[in-house]
Amino acid sequence: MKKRHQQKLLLISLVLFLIWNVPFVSIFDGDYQLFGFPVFYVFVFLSWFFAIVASYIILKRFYE
Amino acid sequence: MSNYILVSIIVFYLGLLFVLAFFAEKHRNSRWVNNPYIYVLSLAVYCTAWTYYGSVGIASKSGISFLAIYLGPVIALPLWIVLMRKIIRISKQHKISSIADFISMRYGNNRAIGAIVTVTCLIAVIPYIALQLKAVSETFSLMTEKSDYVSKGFFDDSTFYIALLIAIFVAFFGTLSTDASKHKKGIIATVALESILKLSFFLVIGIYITYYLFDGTTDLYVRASQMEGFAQLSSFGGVENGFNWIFTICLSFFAIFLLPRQFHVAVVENDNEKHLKKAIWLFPLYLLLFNVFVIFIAWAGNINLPSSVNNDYYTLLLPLQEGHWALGLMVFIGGFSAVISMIVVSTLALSTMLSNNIIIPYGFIKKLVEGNPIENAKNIKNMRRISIFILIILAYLFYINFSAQLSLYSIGLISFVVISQLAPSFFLGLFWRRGTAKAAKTGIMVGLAVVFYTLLLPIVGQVFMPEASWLQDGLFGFAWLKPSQFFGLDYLTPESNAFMWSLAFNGLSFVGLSLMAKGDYRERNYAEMFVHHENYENLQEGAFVWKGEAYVADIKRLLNRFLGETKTDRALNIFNRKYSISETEEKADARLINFSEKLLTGSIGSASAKILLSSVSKEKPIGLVEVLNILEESKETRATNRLLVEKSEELSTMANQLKEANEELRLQDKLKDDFLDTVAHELKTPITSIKAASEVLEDEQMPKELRRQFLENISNDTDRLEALIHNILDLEKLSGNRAELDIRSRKINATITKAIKGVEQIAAKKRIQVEFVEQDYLEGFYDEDRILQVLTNLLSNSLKFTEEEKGVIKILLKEEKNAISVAVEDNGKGIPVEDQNYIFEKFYQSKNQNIKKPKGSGFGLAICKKIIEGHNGSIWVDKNFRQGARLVFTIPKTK
Repeated sequence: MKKRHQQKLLLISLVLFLIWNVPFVSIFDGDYQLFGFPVFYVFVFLSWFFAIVASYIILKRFYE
Repeated sequence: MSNYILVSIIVFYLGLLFVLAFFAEKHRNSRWVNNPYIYVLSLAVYCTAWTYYGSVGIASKSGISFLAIYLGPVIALPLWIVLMRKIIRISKQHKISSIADFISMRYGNNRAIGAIVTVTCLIAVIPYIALQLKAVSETFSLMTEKSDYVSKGFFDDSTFYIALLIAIFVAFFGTLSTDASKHKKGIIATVALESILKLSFFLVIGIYITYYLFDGTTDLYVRASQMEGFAQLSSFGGVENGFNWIFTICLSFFAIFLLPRQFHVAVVENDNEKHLKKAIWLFPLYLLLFNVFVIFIAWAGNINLPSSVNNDYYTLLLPLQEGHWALGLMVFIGGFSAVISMIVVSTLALSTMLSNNIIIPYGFIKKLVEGNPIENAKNIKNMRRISIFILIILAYLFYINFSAQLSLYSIGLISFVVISQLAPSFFLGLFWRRGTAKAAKTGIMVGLAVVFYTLLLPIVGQVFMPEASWLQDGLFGFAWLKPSQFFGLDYLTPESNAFMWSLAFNGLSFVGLSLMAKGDYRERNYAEMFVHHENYENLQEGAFVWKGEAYVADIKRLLNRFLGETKTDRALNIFNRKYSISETEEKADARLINFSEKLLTGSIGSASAKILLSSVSKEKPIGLVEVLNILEESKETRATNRLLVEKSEELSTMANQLKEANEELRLQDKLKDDFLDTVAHELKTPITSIKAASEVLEDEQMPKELRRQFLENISNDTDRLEALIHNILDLEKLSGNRAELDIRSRKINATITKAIKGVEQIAAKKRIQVEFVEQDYLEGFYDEDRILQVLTNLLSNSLKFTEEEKGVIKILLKEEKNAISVAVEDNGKGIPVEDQNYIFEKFYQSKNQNIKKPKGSGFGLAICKKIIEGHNGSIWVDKNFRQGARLVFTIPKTK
């Protein structure tokens, strides 16, 4: 895998670390809900899921 | 449910695992046990009883903080593409079998560091194993309806027997080989199966609670939100809580690398680094699935169950409350799976560390040196087996004494805090060359001391001297020394408090001491090999710098003791062949020393291997500068060698290309010769006939009629000659690409009609029909004169080979994707199959002269081919057409 594509994965980690920490995460600290999931969980689970999809795509395309 | 039924189910389940492990070992090379999915599932050993029961407990009491334990690994996994790959490669190269080996090797194979890391792991993991036993014991009593059950001693406590059975399992499958770096397929297969079971059972119970007991997620939310204290469960809390949250994420981030069981499954048991490709996205997905239903189970428990029950066991209590025993049993088995896999892998990893990093280097090394290979192997295995039993018994004792005070969650977090003390020396050691052994030792010990004071002491204190005032007021009455609120920070949880301060002191001592004093040359050598791993990977044994005196015979004798003679001989043979060293060589060099160290590392650990080898050799210390120079040099030699190999490969490909070109030229030359021969022959025939005729004409008494006849012959032959020469010139012009084609967009209908007009007269004379269906819209890119030439040629060929009166010639037009194809077909005698491949060659017809009288130059089709190729089209014989001949050509279409 080329360095450039490896760095895309590193970026995912970095972004996850930033959005799952204060102060960013406190944006989603409310009492709304979506299908019974409080908004905080909706945010964490969705970003978690998108990270999985992004890693999958990057690895599928560029892993040699 | 009766005690005995449950015990027999447990025994049956363990028996099943034994059988599975046995078969996996037997078919250790099969695809079923060697695939990325097994690797991912084995990583899921991260999810223990803590995940299975503890998460729900936390989610029902304090809310979101259970998630942080999984977010750390999710952040870590994408980094694996760089980090874990590096760790795996280094470990493979040095035959590393545990995290203690890894860290001690990085700091110059330091015996003390290996021991300190092992002790750290023991402190972290024994309570963690105890936590698992606690979960088994408590769920066991819930299942058997004796919630007030208190064990009165080892022997009437079923947990004790379960622990013993697990110990037997590990002792059996974990010590099949003395080489600890050899993969344990059997154990990994059972762990993978258990990972499937625990996840799917947890999902089933989650769905059951959410959709059977309640009316879906929204219903649960609505009902839970009416309860007291709900807001706290689904929200983040203040910014101060944010620090606890960050620290917990960091803790779990470190744990996924540093926990002995994680290091074991991710690094030691990895048999192909390509498995990372799946692991990086699939493992986070596994964790995500495990967490989706946690909050709903927690809320459901809060709604349905009395507040007197232990929140940790909502997952089990909810189906039991409804009287669904089968579901309860399923949950129990799922949790039990989580427990077993954790205990099995942890004790396996810890026992290897204990034997290779403490027992052998500090006690048994002398005894082993004197023993024979069979005895040594037996002793090493026994050491590990005894370690396994001791570990599990220690964990059991811890559980008996401490578990009453602590929840699953807090024991787990304490373990994480302890294990994270390895982080500075592990992570910085991977990327920073300066880190020294002394600094690593000090850092870990300082960190442990802080953890002990801030986190462990209060717990121990509460059990043994609950009245001690210093726990509340701080040591010597100084409030800032209060263990759980060091320096007066009062908003951190005890674990976050301990984590922050211990890691701060640990990291500072490590970095500070590393900067203050340089490490010795051996440390620097290994630091280079770890940090700039990619440079030394190819050097292998050559990356190890060593100077001194050692004899091959001594080393061989040493290896014999541990590997046996056959294995030693085989290994040394491979080594000698690899570096082309003569078998009679008496003195050993650095490469042999390093090679032997690696051979021994698997069995007795790297520190012991180093001690043993230095006992049979006299090492001369060398300066740090010299080590670096030698490393640089061997790196350069390696690079030059590679360059030379590349150059010579380049040269040989060039030589091959030249050879091919030469052959091509020869072939062309021969074709030219053949062509000239044929042309000369063709030219000669009419000239001979002209000459003969003109000689005859010299006779003046020749009758007028005859004379006219001969003159006509001469004229015909001259025509033929002229046509021939014209064709030759034409062909040469076309093959040399000298002919300029006047390519423009034109209507193909008009061209075809023109061509038909040209041959109309001959056709009429022979009474042959020429049919053509016009297709108005088709336009092609071509040179009209040339295509006319092709069409005329094909048509006159058809006219030549069809019978008078019966003959029918058809021209068919077809539109294709980028081209127009034109087919000329007749109902004549057709083209013999054997000729079909050759008719487009020059003079092909002339070769058949004896049978068919020549009616042309033999150039016609060759010229056609050249013309069509000049238009980027192609021409061929339709081999499927049997009623005569059909020749097809294509030309580019106007878009």
